[in-house]
Amino acid sequence: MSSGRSIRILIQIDWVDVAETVSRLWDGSGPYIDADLNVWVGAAALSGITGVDMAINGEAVVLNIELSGVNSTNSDLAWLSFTNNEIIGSIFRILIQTCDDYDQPVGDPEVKFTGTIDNIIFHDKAAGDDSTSILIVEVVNRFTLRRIINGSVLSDTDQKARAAILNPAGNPDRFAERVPLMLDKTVSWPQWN
Amino acid sequence: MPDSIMVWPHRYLKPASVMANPVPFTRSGGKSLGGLSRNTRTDRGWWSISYRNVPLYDSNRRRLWNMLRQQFGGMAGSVAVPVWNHDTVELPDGTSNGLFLTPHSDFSPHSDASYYSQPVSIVVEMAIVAAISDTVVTLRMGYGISDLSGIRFSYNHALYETGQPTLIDGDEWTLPIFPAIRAEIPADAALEVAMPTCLVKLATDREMDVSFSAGRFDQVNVAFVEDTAHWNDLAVA
Repeated sequence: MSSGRSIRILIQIDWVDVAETVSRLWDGSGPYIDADLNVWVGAAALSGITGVDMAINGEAVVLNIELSGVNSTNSDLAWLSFTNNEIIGSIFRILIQTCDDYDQPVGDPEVKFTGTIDNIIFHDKAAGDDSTSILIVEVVNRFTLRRIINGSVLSDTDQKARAAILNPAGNPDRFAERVPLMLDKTVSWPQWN
Repeated sequence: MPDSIMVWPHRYLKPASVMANPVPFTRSGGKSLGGLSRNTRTDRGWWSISYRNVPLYDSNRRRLWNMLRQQFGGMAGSVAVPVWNHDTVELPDGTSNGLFLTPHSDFSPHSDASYYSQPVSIVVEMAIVAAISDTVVTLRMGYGISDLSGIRFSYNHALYETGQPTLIDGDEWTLPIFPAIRAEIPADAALEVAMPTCLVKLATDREMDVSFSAGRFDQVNVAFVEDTAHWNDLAVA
């Protein structure tokens, strides 16, 4: 009885240095317990979730996810990871759980986006009467390379490594060999807007 | 979060009107050129509750108000506020605020003008245990009520609203509810229907600002939002 009109957006962060610690958040209000009895904490708002689409199109350098309503446990985990200098490499996943007409989960959640955490910013600001404390998670994946300068330069080494994956049985791709000019050339990746 | 939850003194600070409304979560890709959009629900949502025109007649009510303001402490603290149910549940005659007020047999009150009071007896029980994030529950109708659809009830200060029944089996009604179950409700638990309450925090830090007019008669508005952080912390703990 899945009408496709109800989903839950789940966010899972596997912290790299703290063994077996996983933060589970979801874009909703109250707690949510899945079929495996994991508790997902409702984060009241996730601005920047539209950035996921941009990352898939190769447009986003980094995907900034602002987590609001994060409880102290998750915030502490982030801080612990941060202070241990181990924050880079923590795995960040966005999952979609489809639900039936009564908003009950149907099947297993699907992973829609995976990236690794590049940075975490603890952001406190005050404006007028209002002060907010936000945890911003910067997530990168392979598309990040498209937008940074040295990531968009095609070197001979890169091309051979790429050829070994794409065509393992064949000869290494040699078109970038012996082209010293390639050092200064920039090959732009396509951008789909 | 203190262990004991303070309840809004509803007999003394009774608002002229209560607005207890669900706030649903939907997302969409925006409107098409034709003006239509396809929306997807990503959560049942949460409660938004407003009190309009809470009368502050005298110094006792003023002091109650100030005490509550301390308890809230801006948006950090929480208080359980009642949302009256006499809009949806037919209460027996002679009740006020979900209470039976009875005078002596010669119709005289006590010497301080108060009456005997007794809560209205409406018995509704949870027939099957409801786990966290369930959205369909089975309620057992006891007495004092004839219809369980479209009513509000609370358990441990978590407020719910029932929808259209999907199955009525004798006195057991299976209904979808708003919002998803915040904390487990065991089977056979008695639910609060006469005067349901909702654990809330203030909508803004300065929501309980109050004026002090020369006539000493003020009516103030206050807006709350459901304190979902409490249920999140409870589930993780």
